[in-house]
Amino acid sequence: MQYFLSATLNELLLVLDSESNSEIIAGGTDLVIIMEESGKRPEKLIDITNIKELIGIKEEKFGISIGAVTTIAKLAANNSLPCCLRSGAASIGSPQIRNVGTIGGNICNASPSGDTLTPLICLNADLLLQSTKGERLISTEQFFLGPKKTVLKKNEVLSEIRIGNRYLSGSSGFRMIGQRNGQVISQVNLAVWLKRSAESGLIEEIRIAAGSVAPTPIRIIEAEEMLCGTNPGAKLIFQAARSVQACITPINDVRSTAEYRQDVIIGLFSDIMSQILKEPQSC
Amino acid sequence: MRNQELVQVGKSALKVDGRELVTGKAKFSGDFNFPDLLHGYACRSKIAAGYIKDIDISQALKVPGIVDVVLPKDILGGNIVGILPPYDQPVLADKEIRYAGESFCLVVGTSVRAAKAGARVVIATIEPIPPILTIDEALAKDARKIHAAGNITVSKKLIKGDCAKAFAESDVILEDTFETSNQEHAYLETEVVCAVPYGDGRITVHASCQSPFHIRGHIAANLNVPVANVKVVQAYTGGSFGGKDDTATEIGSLAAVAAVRQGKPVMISNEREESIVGSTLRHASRIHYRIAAKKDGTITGKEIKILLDGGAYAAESPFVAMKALIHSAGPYKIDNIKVESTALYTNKTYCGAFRGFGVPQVTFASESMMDELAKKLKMDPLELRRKNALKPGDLNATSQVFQESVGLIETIDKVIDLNRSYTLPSKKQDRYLYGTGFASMYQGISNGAEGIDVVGASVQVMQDGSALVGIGLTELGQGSRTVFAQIAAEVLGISLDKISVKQVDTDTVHDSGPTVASRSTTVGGMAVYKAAGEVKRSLLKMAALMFKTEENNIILKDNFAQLVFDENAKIPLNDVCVAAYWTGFPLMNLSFSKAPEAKYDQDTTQGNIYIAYNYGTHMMSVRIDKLTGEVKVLKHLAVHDAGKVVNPKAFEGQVEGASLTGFGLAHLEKIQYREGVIINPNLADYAVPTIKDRIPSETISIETYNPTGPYGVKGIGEPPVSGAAASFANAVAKATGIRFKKLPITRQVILEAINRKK
Amino acid sequence: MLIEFICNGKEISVDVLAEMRALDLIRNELLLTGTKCGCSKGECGSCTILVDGIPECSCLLLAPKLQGKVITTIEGLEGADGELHPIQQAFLEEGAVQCGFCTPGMILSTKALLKKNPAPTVTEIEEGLSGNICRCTGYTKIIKAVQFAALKLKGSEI
Repeated sequence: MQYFLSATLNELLLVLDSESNSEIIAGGTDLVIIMEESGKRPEKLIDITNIKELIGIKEEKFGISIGAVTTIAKLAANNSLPCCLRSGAASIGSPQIRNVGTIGGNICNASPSGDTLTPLICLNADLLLQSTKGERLISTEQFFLGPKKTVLKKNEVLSEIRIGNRYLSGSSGFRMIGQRNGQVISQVNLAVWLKRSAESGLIEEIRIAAGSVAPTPIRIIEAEEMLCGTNPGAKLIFQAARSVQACITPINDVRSTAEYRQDVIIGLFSDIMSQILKEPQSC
Repeated sequence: MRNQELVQVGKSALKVDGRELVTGKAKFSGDFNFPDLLHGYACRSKIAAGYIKDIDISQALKVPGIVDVVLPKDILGGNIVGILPPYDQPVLADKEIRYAGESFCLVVGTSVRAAKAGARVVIATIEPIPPILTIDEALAKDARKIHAAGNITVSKKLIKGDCAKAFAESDVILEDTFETSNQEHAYLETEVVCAVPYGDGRITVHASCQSPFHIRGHIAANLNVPVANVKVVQAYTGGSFGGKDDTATEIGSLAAVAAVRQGKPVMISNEREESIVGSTLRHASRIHYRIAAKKDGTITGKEIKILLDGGAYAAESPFVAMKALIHSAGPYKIDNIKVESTALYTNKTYCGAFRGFGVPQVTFASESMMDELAKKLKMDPLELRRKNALKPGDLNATSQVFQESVGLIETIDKVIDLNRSYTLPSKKQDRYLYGTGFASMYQGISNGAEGIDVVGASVQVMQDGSALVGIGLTELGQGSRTVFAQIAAEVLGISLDKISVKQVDTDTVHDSGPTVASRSTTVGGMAVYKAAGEVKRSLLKMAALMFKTEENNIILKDNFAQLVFDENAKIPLNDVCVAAYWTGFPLMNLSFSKAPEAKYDQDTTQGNIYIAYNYGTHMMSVRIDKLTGEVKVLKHLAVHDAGKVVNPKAFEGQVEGASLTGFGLAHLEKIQYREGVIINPNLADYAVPTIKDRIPSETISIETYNPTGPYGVKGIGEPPVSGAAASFANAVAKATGIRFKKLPITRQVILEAINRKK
Repeated sequence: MLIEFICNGKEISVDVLAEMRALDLIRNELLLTGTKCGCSKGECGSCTILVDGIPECSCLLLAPKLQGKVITTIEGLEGADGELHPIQQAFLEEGAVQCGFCTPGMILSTKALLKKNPAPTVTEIEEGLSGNICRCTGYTKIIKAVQFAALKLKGSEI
């Protein structure tokens, strides 16, 4: 196996175009395990963690740009990011994993339980995919096709995650639950972003996304519609929670029963809503 | 020893082997390195049951770096492991696969990577047969026999008094069935052995292990060489908790066979997944419990049926079944008891020793029933326990009587006392449910019914006044080397920094059996005490000559020999040692400690079994989130009568660690199967407690004097597992009003139950 | 491929296969066996090393990624005169070590934590050490050791 440390994005795109049996490695927290277990190695491993253009969190005119190779730890510690994304990042694995794992890796790995995915969906984030042929911007919601499956083509790379100003200005929250408290893999995770009208205080827009409850992270539009234009009290929040529950199609697996996923999402949703409504600045 | 003023025993001493551990210098088995070291990697079955038709190793032998593939026929001496009858387990499966994860050949290569690559291309043709996966399937009338003798590994009875009469004359009868799941040891270091033919005509095995003498015997048998040709040296061992008892015999034999074939060192280092699927687990169980009582709370009878799912091989099932049998009625004075304890074979990973050894399972059932009885009789649960608690002079379940060191009532009283000053948070906030649960337990110390209990130790005093202690019991992290050093230091008047305790080397010490049954401090400590005592006689004799006085006028203290009546008259101990050496007084002793033998009736299990019992009462207070099922442990008291405590800090460490293992058993940990294959063989999906899952254990010791241990000691390694697990179950029941009858009681189980109750 | 990095203050230049894990390089080539392998999946933390001061699982790290880095393993903590690092001393004194297999990783995670946060709360300690599993101690004494080390290290260079 050849190891290629890519220095620039251009160089990377050219290599991706020319190499057939190559694989991108960022943090490597998933890839190294797969390689060790299968004994299989690509001919060429392309390390993208030295590409400066792909690292860091920048303020742009449109909002915030996050380089795909930004580590999860950096995300969790960055106060300019919305609460839900920071909490989602902070929920991943352990300090050791967060120190090397990247947001791009978490997205491209496309695990239904990835803890940055639901925050990005509810923040209506766009993903910039680049190749030598050009670039395309795709919404996070459209990116996932199934467990471990995305729209990313072989010669493409996810270079940047963009969050628009509108979604930086609202309030958001994230909650997940697993079998234990430390090093948790989500049995369910849930993210909510909402914006309230400055005058009326009514919810003007709300986005809700749930993970580990379907083959990909999903949006819960029914509940969004229920809450939009309201100033929800406990009763309405509970009704919305019920509709979140009704929209998900979880399965029984090694981490949880479908029943628990159905049950617990009510609590998670209520928690996030009360946090956002009562203490929007608390995160 | 009683009422003796103690210098070392009873004080928190730093771990004598701690420096090597905090600096990373301690050599664990996997840290050995030889220039020609080979690595073995096992091929394991992916299905739970089948007949082996063919193993094709031709492709594997072509993989670069592969030097050998060991097949069952290559194990010349019988291909058998199993530390007690019926000796039913092959080192490598030969004709039949009995569990998913069972190994059938060992690929040997110049690196782990090479061996693994070789193992991937071994082609095994295994004809699947329908696996037997549950207790009911194993017991079914027309069930296929997993072993020739049938699916029952062992069945034992305990009969005391007249149960039928007791139940007939009782005021209240309660009855229920409880279940527990398999638990994985999850020690941080997996099983590792390194077999080295040093060219001395013998084979040496460095092993991460719990019972080096078991390994030695198995290696010799499987190599078909005299036991005297085998040497096992325990390396630093990264935890065991019972799990490296059986498994190390298996991979130790395998590595030795491979090493002898190649004439080179061979290491086998289990991967985490192998450590879970291919090494013992705690027995899953189903326990049917009947209890008869009088209106005033006097328990008059218990009828208990224990079924233990032991997996594919007997391993230590016969002993675990016995221990469960003896402990199932709990630490109470009950005149009429009838218990049947049966271990069964299923096509799953085999089960063996795990901290508690059958006691956590039966304690969960027993203490759940105690709470239900208290509820039925409208009695305080602690008062009910106190009313029935064993006292000195009472007959316990096996009709054994202890005249002293029965501190159960003191542990209950301590909990009553401390609970009085503790108030659960207010219940106003309706998000949470609060509850406090209690559990009393006892656990036999020593091998007891499991056979002879002997330990060998050596103590050697050098001319510079330092001492070397050797012992046949293993340090697994529990701190036994430190305890043995403290006992030797106490006897010899030598400071701890001048005492060194060797790791077990089977060449140098009497076969001491396994390091199990919380017996190290008691039986092992006694061996060290005796050996040190013999050397002390030489030193006293010499000092008496030097002081020109009688021996009984001299004490050894702080590295000096001094006169009892004049502490300023003292001679440095090293001077005494030099003189003793040149006078020809022996400065080394090999000693031997033998616990009083168990004497009991085989049919009724009535008689004297253990040399002592540890008694304990736990209290746990929990807060349960009604919306998520999350549980927070607000308070945990672990009160134990473990006799005299040698090293208080290490004692706390044992209680805290064992309690968290009990909490894991009760709340977090569950081995999950799909068609007999373990589907969570890793530390992410098998939820071992992390630091964020710890519980706030407070350790309280009630010291009684146990005459069968040196300085009155008993043991503490295992007992808190049962107390923590059972008190957790009772706390959750109290908080939710729902009796959970199956462990683990996870968040998921709790929330589903709360929602169904609504 | 040739990689160069600094390990415990020493310059290392070594030829490795690209697929070699940092863990195997450290244990088998540099013979620094204080770094332990407990799971090979980043789930136990026994293999924790510091890379530019940050704790990482060396089992998930390919050796080429060490190029140009400064790494610390447990062997790099003890003073030249054999004096224990205050964190090592604290673990020993508080009884935070039982079998000791998780200890090197625990100590290195503690070092990184205290460098970032010299006076952590219990919750912060739990967060900082949540990637290191211990099966022996129940963690209580580990928390105490970290607190004790923080006290001893107050104001000094970690």
